[in-house]
Amino acid sequence: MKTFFLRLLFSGLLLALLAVRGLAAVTIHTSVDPQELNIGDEATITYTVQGGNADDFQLPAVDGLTVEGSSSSASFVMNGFTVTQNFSHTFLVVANRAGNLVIPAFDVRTGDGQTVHTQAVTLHVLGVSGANSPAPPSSNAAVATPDDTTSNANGPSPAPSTGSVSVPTEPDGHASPVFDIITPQTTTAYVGESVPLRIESFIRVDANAQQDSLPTLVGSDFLMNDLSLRPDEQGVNVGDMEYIRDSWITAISAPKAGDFPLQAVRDTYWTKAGPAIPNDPFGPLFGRQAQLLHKEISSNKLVMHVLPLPDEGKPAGFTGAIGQFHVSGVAQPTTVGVGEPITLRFVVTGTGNFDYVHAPALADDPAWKTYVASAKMTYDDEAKTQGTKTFEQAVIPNNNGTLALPAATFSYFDPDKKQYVSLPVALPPITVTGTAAAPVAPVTAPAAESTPAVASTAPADTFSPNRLALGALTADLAPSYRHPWFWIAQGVLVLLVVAGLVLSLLRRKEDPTRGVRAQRQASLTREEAAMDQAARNGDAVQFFTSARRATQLRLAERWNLAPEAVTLPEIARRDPALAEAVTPLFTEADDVVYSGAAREGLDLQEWSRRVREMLQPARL
Amino acid sequence: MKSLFLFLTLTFTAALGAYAQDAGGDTLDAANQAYTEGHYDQASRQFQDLIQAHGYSAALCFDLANADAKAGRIGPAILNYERARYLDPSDRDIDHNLQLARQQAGLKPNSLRWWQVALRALTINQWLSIVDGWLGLIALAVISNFFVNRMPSGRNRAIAGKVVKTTLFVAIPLFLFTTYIALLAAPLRIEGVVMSKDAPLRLSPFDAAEQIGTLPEGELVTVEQKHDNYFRIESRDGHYGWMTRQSLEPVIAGSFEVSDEQ
Repeated sequence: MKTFFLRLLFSGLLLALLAVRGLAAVTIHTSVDPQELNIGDEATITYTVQGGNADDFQLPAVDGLTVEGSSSSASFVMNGFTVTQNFSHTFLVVANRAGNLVIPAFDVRTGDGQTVHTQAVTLHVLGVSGANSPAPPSSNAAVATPDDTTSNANGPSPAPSTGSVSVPTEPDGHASPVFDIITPQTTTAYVGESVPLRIESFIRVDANAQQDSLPTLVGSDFLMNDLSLRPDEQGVNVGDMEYIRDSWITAISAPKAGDFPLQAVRDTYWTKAGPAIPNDPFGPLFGRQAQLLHKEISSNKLVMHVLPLPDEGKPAGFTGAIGQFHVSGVAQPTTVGVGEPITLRFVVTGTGNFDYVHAPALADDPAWKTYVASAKMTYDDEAKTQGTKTFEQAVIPNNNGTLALPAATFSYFDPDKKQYVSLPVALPPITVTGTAAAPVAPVTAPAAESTPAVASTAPADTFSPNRLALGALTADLAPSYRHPWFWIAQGVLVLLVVAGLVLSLLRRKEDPTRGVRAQRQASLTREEAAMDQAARNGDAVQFFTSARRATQLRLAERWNLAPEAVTLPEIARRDPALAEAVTPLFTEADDVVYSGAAREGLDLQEWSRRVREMLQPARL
Repeated sequence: MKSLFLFLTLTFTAALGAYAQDAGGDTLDAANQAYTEGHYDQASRQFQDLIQAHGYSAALCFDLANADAKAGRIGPAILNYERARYLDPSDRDIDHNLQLARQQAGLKPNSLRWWQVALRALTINQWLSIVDGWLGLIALAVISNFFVNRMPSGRNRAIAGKVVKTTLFVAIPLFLFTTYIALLAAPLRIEGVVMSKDAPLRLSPFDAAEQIGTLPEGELVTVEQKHDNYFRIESRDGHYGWMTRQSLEPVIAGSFEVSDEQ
């Protein structure tokens, strides 16, 4: 009988297994290796039929592609109680011409009569003969793109590189799952010139990689503007593969002349290939889970040609501005008294290294006293190379009459024209009235800063007199926190705090009566709550029972007695004065409890207040 | 024992201060006499000797700055006014003379705002002393708590416990608050004053590097970085560049050496 049931169970399981297998859908997967190759190179195309078999497998004819051979294999994969049958058909093909060779999608009839559709496959064949072609570049090698600007002085603007990007390959010939590309606007620049630079990081969607850090430049030959923490993120197709592209636009400048390598790097966290057994349920248990590996991804490497600024024709007021700029200026007001300030406002707009754009230089003129200009910058682009810089500068006339303002000239170097440009700034004449007066503070400074916080006792244009006493002396101006003794003192104080806390904790643990006291305190809290509740309900019996019990608990804690031992005689023996205060409560409690009812006119709320006051730790 | 130590320390410090005052009084009078008679260079030297002998004080730095300003040395004058203001930010005369010196140098005013004056009502060392005072009180309360717990139950223990708890309740928030104020008041950034006329500002820290501008004598700058003999500085109007060590003098004497260690 037992054997019969075992056979029945086994047969049922087998039927269920076969049923599952029969219901499983047949799918077909395609893989190509490598996807990009040179003329004459071989590639393998594998079609894997999962959940079925297909004997009659013919690759469609493709112009430029020769099938050199094929092979097939079968495998069985058991996943739980499900057994899946897989058939793989591999074709070895050779590319005969350059271009994108497409193997179209076709239908395959499986052994059980189903029809499945394959996916179209594209092979990128480069126009280089495979026999003479160099080894595939590693991911660290320069990326060959049609837009490569290594020799183009006036290269393209750093536009997104998708469409013109070739995916770099790993040493094993596979396409790199992660790569970076940098695209400067030009590879020839002058010292200090701001060159817009696009940095792109590509991660294939199926790559187990994650990038959390910002790209940085290799070496210290260039200064780069800060990158935004959140790059522009897009999904793009590169070489028929889907990638996530992070891109930044920034600007670089070189502090010295020469030819310097330009390359970016970015840290990447890779997820190592997981445990040996796919979907291994015991992987985490036996430490076979995937591990994170750290890898640094380098971008394509370019060479920047940094030219020195010419000495010839350098204007006297040149401050290092390089680019193309326009400048305008206004003066307000145009009529003032002698000694009154006039604000000159210069607006410089254009493209270039605005860090080095200073206010137009004013010619020395004894008729005017000039002050330092303040500046405000507004950028129009992400790279911070386009924008408007506004300067405000105060000048004060020393003489009266109709005066021409000091000649203002803005100078910069134009890298396109390869020469210095000096732009005179037209300013209106100023009518100055009155006679010479004491100088006043310039108007360019913000009002809050130009107003002293507290007024001095001295006149505005004279120095306050000397102090006649030494005052509090200090040997050292440095704040005390810069001295080791300060930190030693802090350490001692913190140690004292910690020691006090530790001692208190130890004391609590060592105290044998701690448990009893805690229990009594809990009882006391309970009795107090019961007392309040009884007072609210007008339950005199309960109220006085709890009030007496609470008093006993408090006194028992004080005298280290059992609560039941705290009676009126005992209280009178230990503390007669206290007995006098407690007696009314105990007497009233006895009366109420024994009679079972409260006498007329008994105010429980008032009693509650009195008992509460009496129970204060400082009183009992 | 602790009280005795504190008493001795205070007595010794007071005695030392009184001696220094007496010793420096004559020289200070002499320096002030030279200043009144218009011998500004001589007065400046005497004030510097006083600082070297007895240390800094807001009054000494102020007097030295006055002498330098009258002698036409605008860089040292502004430097010493800045030092005097660092030591006594609420002194209106120091701020007045500093702004006047800056105006004469063609620099923008840099008066402190009211809240900066309020923040610097005490020097950073005084703020730190208050922080330490609160921390000490917390330590005392925590240790006292240990002994209070050993007391027998009763009224005395209840009162002592209440005192300890109240002390902690008051001291901990005040400790945190004064620590925050001390952090705000601390001169965390290293500042220097340009000491040479039209000091060149370079694109990179090399003598042959491109000069991108100049900074006027007396300008207050923030030191960001150091490379060999050069400091990367940020000027008041937000410009960056490299400047030689010789062109700058730190407001807090010795802070450039701290930056070296960092």
